[in-house]
Amino acid sequence: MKRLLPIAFLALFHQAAAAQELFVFTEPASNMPAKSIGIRMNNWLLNQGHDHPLSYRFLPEVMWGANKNLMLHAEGFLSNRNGYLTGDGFGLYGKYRFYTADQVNRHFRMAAFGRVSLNASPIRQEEIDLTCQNSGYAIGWVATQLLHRQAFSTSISFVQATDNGGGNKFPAAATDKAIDVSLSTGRLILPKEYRNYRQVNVNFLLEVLGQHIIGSDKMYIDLAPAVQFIINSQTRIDLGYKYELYSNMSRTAPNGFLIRIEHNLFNIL
Amino acid sequence: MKQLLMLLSILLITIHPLVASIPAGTGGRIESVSLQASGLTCSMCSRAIYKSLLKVSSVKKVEEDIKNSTYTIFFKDQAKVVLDDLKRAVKNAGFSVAAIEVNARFDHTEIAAGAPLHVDDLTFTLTGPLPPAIEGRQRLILLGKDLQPSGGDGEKIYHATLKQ
Repeated sequence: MKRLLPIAFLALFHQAAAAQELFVFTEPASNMPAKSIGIRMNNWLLNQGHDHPLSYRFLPEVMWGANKNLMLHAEGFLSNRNGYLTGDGFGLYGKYRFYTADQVNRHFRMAAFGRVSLNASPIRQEEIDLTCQNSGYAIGWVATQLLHRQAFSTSISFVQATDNGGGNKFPAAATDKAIDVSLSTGRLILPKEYRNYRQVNVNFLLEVLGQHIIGSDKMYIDLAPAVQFIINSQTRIDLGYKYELYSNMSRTAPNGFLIRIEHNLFNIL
Repeated sequence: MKQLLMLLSILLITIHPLVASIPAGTGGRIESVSLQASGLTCSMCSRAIYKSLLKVSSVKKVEEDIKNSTYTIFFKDQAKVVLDDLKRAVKNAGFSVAAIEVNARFDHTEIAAGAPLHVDDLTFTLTGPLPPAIEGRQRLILLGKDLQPSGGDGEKIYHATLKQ
């Protein structure tokens, strides 16, 4: 069944009429416009197994287009690991677009990105997750190709975990370095033809997310399909599901839903 | 006296066409600028460009054609039109400029290849097959690498052709 799922999703995307690069689980090489602000509410609902309650993680995020090439994010990490919503830490993310080849209705772009996270939760898994579980930093590269209604993107990054805050040391038996990779595609399904900014856009997106722990044979591969609605050309609603295809490392909650609401304020600064 | 009046009449009839027309290269007035952006397809990206163009101080109104990534820009009365400001607005939104067309209205104006043609505060030189004179609404299509003018720090001269 696990082998059939990716084939089924690829077939679905192959037949779909039209996608974009506003990926749900990764970032494209493009940035948000300069002098603009975006606000995101990321809601993760993750399955921790039969004997554990659903893990809820709430990541409020503010995005800022500093200039046409540089954008910055600041995000908070909150979870219900104590039975109620607790602040676990925060992170900063920056992306610099250094290559642009634009043509009408298409582009190829490349960007470098970095992330720094501080987290005070206990470390209970081998997976290194700077978006909600680990303190550390990451640096990476992303390339995105947009071809009319279809977009493709790939990224690779080096991830270094450090001790978490609150006396939560990184486990001595685990490895604190990893390589993250991603492959993403998206397709604009609706509208068939643009007439105005009020038309609802519907995008289907499919992403493959992987991590390899350096110096070991530990790795995981996730499949993450999503549907995205863009309302009034300004507000995004993303509904995604992350599903573990393969893993030989310990992960507390690999499968679950991401529900995101994003609102962009263009040129307000 | 009768001879003097006749002489004045002949003189007026003779110079009338010259008074009615604008000498060669004097130019026209910008009615709008059409700009095509590149590197986007979605309406969110298009709206970002639309909002960025509206922020340019000389811009009064922008009409968008999302399907073709094209924006028709109208300007405030007496505003100085600076094409670089429009290009910068598109780039700040994260995209590039593929084409610019200046829509201008001319009185009878004689033109020639390579001769400067003034349109409000902008100066053009035209290439391509040209009529000896233009009149009424005309569309000037910018040419050249990145649609950049020549002239450096001096007077900027845009290279263009007439859209027939």
